[in-house]
Amino acid sequence: MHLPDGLLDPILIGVLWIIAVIFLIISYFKVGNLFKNEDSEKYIPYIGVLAAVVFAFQFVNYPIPGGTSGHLIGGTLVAVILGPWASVIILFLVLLVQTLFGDGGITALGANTFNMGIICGILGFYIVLGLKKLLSKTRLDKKYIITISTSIGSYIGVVLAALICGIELGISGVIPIEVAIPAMVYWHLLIGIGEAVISGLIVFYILKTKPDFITIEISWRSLENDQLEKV
Amino acid sequence: MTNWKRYKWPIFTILVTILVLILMLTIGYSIGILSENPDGLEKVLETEGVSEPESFWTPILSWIENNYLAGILGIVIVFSLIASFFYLNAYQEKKRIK
Repeated sequence: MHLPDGLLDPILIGVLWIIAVIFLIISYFKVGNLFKNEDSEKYIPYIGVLAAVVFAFQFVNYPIPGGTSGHLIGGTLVAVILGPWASVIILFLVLLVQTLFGDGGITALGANTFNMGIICGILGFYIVLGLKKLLSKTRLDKKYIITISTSIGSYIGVVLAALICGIELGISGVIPIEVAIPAMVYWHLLIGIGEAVISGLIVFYILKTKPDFITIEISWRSLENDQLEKV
Repeated sequence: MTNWKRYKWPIFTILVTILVLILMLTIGYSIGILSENPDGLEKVLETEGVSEPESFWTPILSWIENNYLAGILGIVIVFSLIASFFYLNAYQEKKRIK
């Protein structure tokens, strides 16, 4: 879903850059909350590894029936682990490195950050939170609740990002909007399955090995202790 | 004196993860399980007959034609960039709290 240079309308490109920059500035100050504790810097190498994982999974395409292929976006995954604001910054930096290799345009970086970091990351995160709330009424184990919520949230996040991308293509006059939206959504309904599986597996693995690394898990624990921390 | 025992597990985990990623790329590119087909957006553009416009710049690292090498280099760049960014952010946050 990496938009290349010269595809979208220049005005739209400008607007999406402004939105992305505003979110990046807010995110810069918000992610500082991750380092309020005494030895919280010890998590930084893990954050680097998580970003490298997102890069690697965005770099490789898995086959999808129908002559297409998919790759991880990772917005919701990063948001579940590190919080929604961190996902905007990480996705922006990962996409920036990808433009150096020719994957996605440099002028379209704002649009790509908007689609994959803000829509898939922030919106996906709140969908996961909602699902988690819903599933916590069941008897399922906490680990499974977070894993299932992440998988479904990631899936919806990808489809939403594709929907927005379709609207952008339509507004820019690249493809008629009534064609762009269904086409983008249709293919990403299939591609999103891979995103859901990969995100679910990674979150489940972290929950098993290092649960205190997951923001959503921390906020859950705080909720249980009646000291809700703002994510 | 730095207590290296404290860092043993984080360093081990990071090295293992990076090795797994490199292994994943190696397997993917050598046995051909990865797809060369267009992704969702490319497929839509292709179906609708929209050709990708000429870019006005040449991406700095596009001269690397070997995907496997590009993937490994990308992993190293992303890890360094993100770790540096967050160290800087953590440093400024601690300074602000003080």
